[in-house]
Amino acid sequence: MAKSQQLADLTTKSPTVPENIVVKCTRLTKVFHDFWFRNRVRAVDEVDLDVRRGEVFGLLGPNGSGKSTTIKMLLGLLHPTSGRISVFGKRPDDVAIKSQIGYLPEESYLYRFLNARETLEYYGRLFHQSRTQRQVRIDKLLKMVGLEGVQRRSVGEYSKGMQRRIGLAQALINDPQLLILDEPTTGLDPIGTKQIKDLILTLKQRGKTILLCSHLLADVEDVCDRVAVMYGGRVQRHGSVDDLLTQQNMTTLQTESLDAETLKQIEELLTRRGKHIEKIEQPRQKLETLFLDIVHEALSSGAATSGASSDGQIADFLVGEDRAAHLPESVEPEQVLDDLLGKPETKEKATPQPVSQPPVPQLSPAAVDQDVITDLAAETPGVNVNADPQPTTPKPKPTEVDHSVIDALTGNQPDTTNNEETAEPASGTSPAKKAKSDNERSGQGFDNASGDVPNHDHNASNEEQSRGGSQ
Amino acid sequence: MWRKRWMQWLTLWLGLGVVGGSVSVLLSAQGLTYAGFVLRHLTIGVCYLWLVGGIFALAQQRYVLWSVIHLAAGVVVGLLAMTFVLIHESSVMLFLLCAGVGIRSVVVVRAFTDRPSWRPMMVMLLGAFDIMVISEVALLIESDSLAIGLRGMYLMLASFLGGLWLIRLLLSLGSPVLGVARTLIDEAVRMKVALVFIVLILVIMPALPFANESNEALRYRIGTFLHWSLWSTSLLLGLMTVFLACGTICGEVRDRQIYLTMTKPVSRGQYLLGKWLGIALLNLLLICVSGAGIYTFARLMQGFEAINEYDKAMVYEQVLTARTSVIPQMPEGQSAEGLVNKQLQHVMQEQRYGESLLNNEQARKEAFNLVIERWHTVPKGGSQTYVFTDLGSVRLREDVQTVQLLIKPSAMDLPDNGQITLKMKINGRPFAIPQTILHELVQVIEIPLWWINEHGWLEVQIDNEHISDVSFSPDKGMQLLYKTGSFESNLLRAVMMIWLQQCFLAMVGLMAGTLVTFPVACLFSMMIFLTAITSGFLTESLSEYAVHVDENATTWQTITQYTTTMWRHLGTGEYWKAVKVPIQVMAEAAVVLVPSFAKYNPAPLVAEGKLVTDKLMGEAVLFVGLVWTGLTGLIGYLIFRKRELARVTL
Repeated sequence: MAKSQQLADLTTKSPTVPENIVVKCTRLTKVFHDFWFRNRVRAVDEVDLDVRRGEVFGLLGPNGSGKSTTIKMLLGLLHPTSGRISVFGKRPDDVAIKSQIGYLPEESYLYRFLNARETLEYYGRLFHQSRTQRQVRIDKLLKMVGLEGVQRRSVGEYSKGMQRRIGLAQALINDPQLLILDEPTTGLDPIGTKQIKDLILTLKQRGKTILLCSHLLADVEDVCDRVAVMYGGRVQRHGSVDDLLTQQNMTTLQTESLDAETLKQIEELLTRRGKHIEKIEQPRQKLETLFLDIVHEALSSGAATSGASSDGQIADFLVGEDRAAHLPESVEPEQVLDDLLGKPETKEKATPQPVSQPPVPQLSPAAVDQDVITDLAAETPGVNVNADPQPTTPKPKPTEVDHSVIDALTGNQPDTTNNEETAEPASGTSPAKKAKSDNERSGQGFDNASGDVPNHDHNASNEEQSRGGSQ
Repeated sequence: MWRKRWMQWLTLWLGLGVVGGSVSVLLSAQGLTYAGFVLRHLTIGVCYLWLVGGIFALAQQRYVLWSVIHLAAGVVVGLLAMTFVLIHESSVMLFLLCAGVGIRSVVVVRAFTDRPSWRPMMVMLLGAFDIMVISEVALLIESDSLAIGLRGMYLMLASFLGGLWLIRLLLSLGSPVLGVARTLIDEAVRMKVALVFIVLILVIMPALPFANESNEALRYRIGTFLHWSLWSTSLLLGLMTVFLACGTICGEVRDRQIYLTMTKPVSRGQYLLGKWLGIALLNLLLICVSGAGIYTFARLMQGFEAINEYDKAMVYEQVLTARTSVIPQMPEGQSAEGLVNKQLQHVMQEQRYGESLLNNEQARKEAFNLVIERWHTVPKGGSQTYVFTDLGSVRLREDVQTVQLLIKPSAMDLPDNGQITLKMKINGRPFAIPQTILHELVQVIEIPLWWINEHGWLEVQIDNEHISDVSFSPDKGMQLLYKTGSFESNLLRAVMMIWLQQCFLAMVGLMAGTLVTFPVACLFSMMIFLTAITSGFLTESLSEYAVHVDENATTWQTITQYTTTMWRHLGTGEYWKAVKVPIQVMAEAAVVLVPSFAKYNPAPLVAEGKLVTDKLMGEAVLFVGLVWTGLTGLIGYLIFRKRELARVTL
């Protein structure tokens, strides 16, 4: 049954809850007792929450403010003392809605004696997935989270970051409509944090709803649409990120470097209008971006790591048939080879859909023909000029992140995806990616993605590619 | 690069084989047969190990290091084997060698493969050859039992692993119940708690036949082996089941792995069912493997030395078979009822009771027991007759030659040789008893089939020519047995009954785990199980524990009886006796609530070559399997459904 049909069934059953509200809590309260049934702790106190379809909702607050407790009540792990909860229009006890929910708990609660593959197989079985379906999805998920190389090791021997990644994989195995993440970035290094943030944004573009709960404010700020701040079990403030954060009474301009003369003129102009300049400075790159740049350089030069590594592709069943978003990570020689030889899974004719269908991993014949033709027609053989529009950011820059968030908030299509060619052979991916990385380093940003990769860079990328291939 | 390595490896392998083989032939030709033999085996061993090791090493591209390790290990095995041949040490040393070899296999395999599911298979492969070499050496030093035991152990382990693989395959469908079951089986095998019991079962079993090398008759030794092996299997499996069932649920709730399971579309009932299914399948596998082991070793034992020809024949007739027992009836002209009435009249006259005594149940019961006892006693110089009916179909059978009369006589006075002198007549004709009758010993008298008359009767008359009265114990002292089934099918039934008990135990463990913590759950489950098994015995002993329970009293009278007894004891300062009263009440409540499993224990039946009847099997399936397991499961489900999994108690 198509997911949209299932969802429609689920939500239309309850006429009292409007269709676009995925989670609704009304005066939710939870009081914990002690052994003698005396009331001791009011963990959640009269909380009213709405999570709408397709948004990223952040539940913030310091430790002990009742965020995790609220989430557990949403999932049916705790019974509320009073108040009402509806998830997809049903009570949280309902078993059927769970097939649309993915949950990443704050700590990794996995079976220590299973390895990564067996863990995902187990959770796949719980979703009634057939063996082939499980196989395909597990391969993609393991690749996405970068645990392909260690999939036969028992989970009990993983590092914390690796355990979080497997937790994320199991949360996504059923391609859920509602993803509940409890402290997703806690304990991850900046690379992992960036990956999670990009994943959240990509999923949001595909129409999923994400409920996020964290105390790491910088991470939340970048991805959330609406937030609720909790303290002492109560929601202190809630609203959209823009409304809460934008300082309505100030304006920031960002331009290229200005000389003193121009600055003086601008100041005069403003003074004439009755305003004055509060601050002039050169913007700083975020430390996160610097960190990621350094790591990327190290990876490109071939430094080894024994932990998790990721090729950066988000599994395509999560994003539909569109080309997968690229996350900034390790480029391995095998990956390059595979890409060149053509992996069948990535691209197909993309029709924008609110819900992603299970992937059909084949190249449509039309796409193949087109590539061959353009290939033959291209000046530089072996490189497909059409192949470039890389969805996001092999290299993160502050401008890119802002773009995606802004675009998402204002509902624009980000430059990356479906606007351009619909078909893109995998062969084009890697050299173009390399080309992109070169471009990034030379300072051209996100905007390049829409597609004019300067020709002169292709030769450089060809050389690099052949170097990589002979390793 | 690869090609060069292959060539090197191949050359070395062939070279080793050729050199070793030719040297051993030379040694044998020179008359040093032992040395030649050992060297030959050593060469085979090393070549084999080199082959296996080489394949893995090449696959891993760590050619040199691991091949050297494997070669060294092979050399060590060979040298040790040679040493034992030359020194003729005891079997204990060989056992240590086996352990060392096993460890070596595990270590090497673990180094070679990083797919955990392959490792057991690889260990078995490597172990196969090692076991063969060692058992051959054991045969050489005439330690037959060790060789057989080793091979038996290995085969049981191999079939266990094979069965496990099969179960895993069966459970690989995409269903929540099967998924939970599959994960449970992985947990059982990889977490050491269950594995310990599994290994114990697989290791103890082959050692049992050789446990008592006494001079007892072979049939008793086999019977003892059957009893011990079934009983120990039941016990070890029971322990494993309890620890596994309680541990899995308690552990998942405590370590919160259940959060991730319960937030998926799995209902609580499906989860419990999946756990139970996993334990039941694991038990089924272990029971089958143990059963196969018991069967193999029992058949093996029948080839051991018997003390005489009669003993050897009796092994087939009395132990490795399945017999039905028939209890005797009173001869024509007498009836139990009539005798009971007569007895009651007698008592009434003597003790001046009224007519109501005839209807008094307890009096009738006592009179009945007395009558039976008297019938089972042959007075000195007199005789008694026992009639066995319904033997018409047996008479016509061709696969058996005899029916067996089982008697356990006891006499007050015995001559010096301890023998009891009896004469027997069957259907009016004298029957010569082929053996001497001994006091207080269960004896079997074989009666050829043609003695049964056309009506299907055997009328056995015992004439007492002894110096005193001879009596047979009323329940088992006089019965007729005939073969109705084969040993194989009987063992299968016995094994199935043990499995049903384990299924019930698993459900009890799961139910306990849903409610309380692990230690409490274990204790509770074991208590329930013990009560169930010993319930018959418990009822009897409880009836006299603190307060004598009068069976005919009404409920109110019973309550008053209890309270007055307790009050009386408190009044006289006998506090311990007063405390015993509520203990008895609680124990009796437990016995009533818990099913009675005493009669579903097949071990004594199989040990005595008696049939596990269809009726018994049916009852077991119904009561143990369906009713009690289902009830317990229902209780567990109801508890689990309402439980808040993430609750913290402050």
